[in-house]
Amino acid sequence: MEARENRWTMAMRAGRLGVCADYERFLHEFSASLRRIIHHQLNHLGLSAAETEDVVQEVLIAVHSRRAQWDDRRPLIPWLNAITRYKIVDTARKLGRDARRHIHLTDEEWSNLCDQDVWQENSHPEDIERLVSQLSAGQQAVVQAICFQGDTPREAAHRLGMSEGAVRVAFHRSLKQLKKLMDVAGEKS
Amino acid sequence: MRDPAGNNNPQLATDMLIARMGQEISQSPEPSRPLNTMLANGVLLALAVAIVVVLFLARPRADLVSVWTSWAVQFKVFGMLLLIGGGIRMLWAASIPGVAIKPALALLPAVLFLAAGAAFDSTGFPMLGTHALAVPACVGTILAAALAPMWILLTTLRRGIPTDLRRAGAVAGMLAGALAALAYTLACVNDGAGFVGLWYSFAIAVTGALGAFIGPKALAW
Repeated sequence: MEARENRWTMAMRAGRLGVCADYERFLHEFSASLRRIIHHQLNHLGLSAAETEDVVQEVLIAVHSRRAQWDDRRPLIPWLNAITRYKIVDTARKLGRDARRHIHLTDEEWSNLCDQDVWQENSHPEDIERLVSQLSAGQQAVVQAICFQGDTPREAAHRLGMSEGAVRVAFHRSLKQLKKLMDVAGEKS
Repeated sequence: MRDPAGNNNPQLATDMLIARMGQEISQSPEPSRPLNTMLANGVLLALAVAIVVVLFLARPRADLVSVWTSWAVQFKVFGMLLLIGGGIRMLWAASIPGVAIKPALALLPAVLFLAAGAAFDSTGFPMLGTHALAVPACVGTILAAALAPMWILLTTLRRGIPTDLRRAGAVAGMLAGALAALAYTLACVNDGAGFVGLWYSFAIAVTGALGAFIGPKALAW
């Protein structure tokens, strides 16, 4: 960890002098470790790769835009960690609030969601299968459990080894993602 | 944030973002921008505004010049200065990611001083003041005089990098209250250490709680 602190500190200092190669290398290394951290911390929200990348970019932008305010007599990694933690908590709050509005449905309303909306506009089961296969593995599992196997969220949670709340959040996000994919597919055809 | 090409590989978009950041670095390198001047200016401005509000809401006490060197008034002033000192240190920490100061340590000198003064108060000054409106006038004036300074301190914090918004808000509120209380010593005629220890602290606790409440909304970035 000392080696990384030294390397990144020198890269930030080099950035202050206008040397961009070291600075960019630092940002690449930093974003790799960010991906791991975000995936771990926000696992319960079932983020897709694209959404995870959004959070990575938010942290990078936060660090880059405020790079002049880092006091180079102080350790860099605690500074980065505090900013990272703030952005992760902020994202979780926004995404959680989004999903929370939709997770207080009865089991019957949940199964109705499978009948309307996404599915009605599509009369070809193969199209649906193709769209579902574009979701992340976790989201596919949730959609298959609830829509294809007719599980209630609780049963799906039991089957998949997740909490019921996580299943509801993931299912809501899957529907949003499927709608988006359908729009894209619709534009292409 | 995502371009069409990045749809299948989101990391491509991040790579492009990093390349743009590198370009920015070589085109306009930014030297360091220290925080301390900004904080100092914010605190001084907040104090000045607090004094103006106090003088607007309450006249300076008639005997100000003669009692200024008395133990009673010096106790108030020194107690508030100790609180302000601790508050400034906490404000500084709240605007830097990765730095946390134990509030207990920063505020301990002030708390000990005020508590000791209150415990050994031999003036016999009543805890509820000499008339019915003494407490509401004191607490109310401090609260009113703390509002604009709180806004100034929150604005100052936003120019730093607050990462614990509730704590940062609480610090801004508490420091604003202490600055307002210091300004209020110009007008306050309640000269009992027990009264001051209790009611000034109460007012400052209220401003601290208010700051903690609005912190997450006011400081989000």
